[in-house]
Amino acid sequence: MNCLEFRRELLANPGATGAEAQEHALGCAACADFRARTLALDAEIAELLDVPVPEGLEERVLEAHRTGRRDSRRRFLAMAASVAGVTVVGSGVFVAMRDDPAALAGIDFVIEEEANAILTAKAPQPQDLVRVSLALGLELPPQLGDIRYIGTCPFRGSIAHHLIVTTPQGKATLLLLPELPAQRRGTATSRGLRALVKPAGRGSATVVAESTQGLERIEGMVWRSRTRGGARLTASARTGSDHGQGSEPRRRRPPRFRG
Amino acid sequence: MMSANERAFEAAVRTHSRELFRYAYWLCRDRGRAEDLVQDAFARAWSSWADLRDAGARRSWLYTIVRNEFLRGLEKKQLDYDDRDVSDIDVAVESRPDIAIDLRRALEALPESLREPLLLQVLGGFSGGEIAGMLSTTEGAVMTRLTRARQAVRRLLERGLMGQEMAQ
Ligand SMILES: [Zn+2]
Repeated sequence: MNCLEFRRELLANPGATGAEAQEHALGCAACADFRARTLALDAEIAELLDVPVPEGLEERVLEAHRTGRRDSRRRFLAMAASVAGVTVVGSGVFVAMRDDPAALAGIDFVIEEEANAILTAKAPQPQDLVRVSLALGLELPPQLGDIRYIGTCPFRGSIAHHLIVTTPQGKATLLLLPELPAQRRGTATSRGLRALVKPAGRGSATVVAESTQGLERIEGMVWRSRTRGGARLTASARTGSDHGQGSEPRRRRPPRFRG
Repeated sequence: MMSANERAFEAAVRTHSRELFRYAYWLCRDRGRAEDLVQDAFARAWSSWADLRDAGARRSWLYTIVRNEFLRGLEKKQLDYDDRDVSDIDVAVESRPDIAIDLRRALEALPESLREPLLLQVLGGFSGGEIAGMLSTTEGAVMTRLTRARQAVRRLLERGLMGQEMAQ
């Protein structure tokens, strides 16, 4: 059994690999390691799938069986939903005034589409990111955090340069939007996330973070006012070191993209 | 007096409701709807309870009913499946521990065709053959989907899979 066969068998059923696979893992440290991590991931998946079950579920099923009717929980839920509906409509007006729709779209993107964007991503083009951030006058300093992902994807009808960064305040998403102007700064809070949309050059950028603190930290770094010229994100090697943007271009390192 | 069937039914409700709820939840990802699916599934199960001779098959039968109830709600008979070959390249990729997005989102992002066999294996503890029976497919196809499901989850979780490094 070679490494590829081993990994295939392992990924199909990590908990029950055959004798040949066991033997392979004994003689192949890399595959033994691969197996350990696969088992750890499976344990995490199992834990996640184990969602809490509503109190009294069995009793309601049996009650429905005895009475021949589906249990009252559903009616109760429907009623609760209608009451909640009023509240939602009521607060909706308030929310609409406070939350910027463009910023809300950033949160929806992170919750609903970001994972798919990563799954379907093509090879990243870091040089495009460098170019785009320069054009938008934005900085991506190394203190921002570790860049975990770079890609492009559709967002609000234009192309977003999509970054995922881990920061001391948690995970954050940046969408650089060279073709999507914004009139002014706007923020939103929704689904446990905080988002900001803000003009940048001729376009804009959206930041989605887990807290206001995290958001403001990123805003302060990315939109930092510069002496002049463009952003200094860059590795001079990629953009050319010919025009001294800022006085000491080589002192600043780009964000780490650990690989 | 309860009949033997009644007693067996009640025992099945007490034994399997919780795991069926979890399965239903991961099919529809809505707690209220998941509970309805479990209730409807047991109602349907009762209507043909007496016909089920093989008590050993009861558990996978109940899972199948939950799934059918779920599909009925979608007005689908079958989920959209794709059994293309597993990509060798992904299998060979080394995993990295850092997490770009959380596991929940990774699971939610999986296509149903990959998530479902994974649910049945990890949550239900069913074998490849049992899952094949429940999904009306072959065991080979199930194993391929399970491999692809885990690959996809890993891809989602691995940072820097996107390859190149930023300029140094
Ligand atoms: Zn090996």
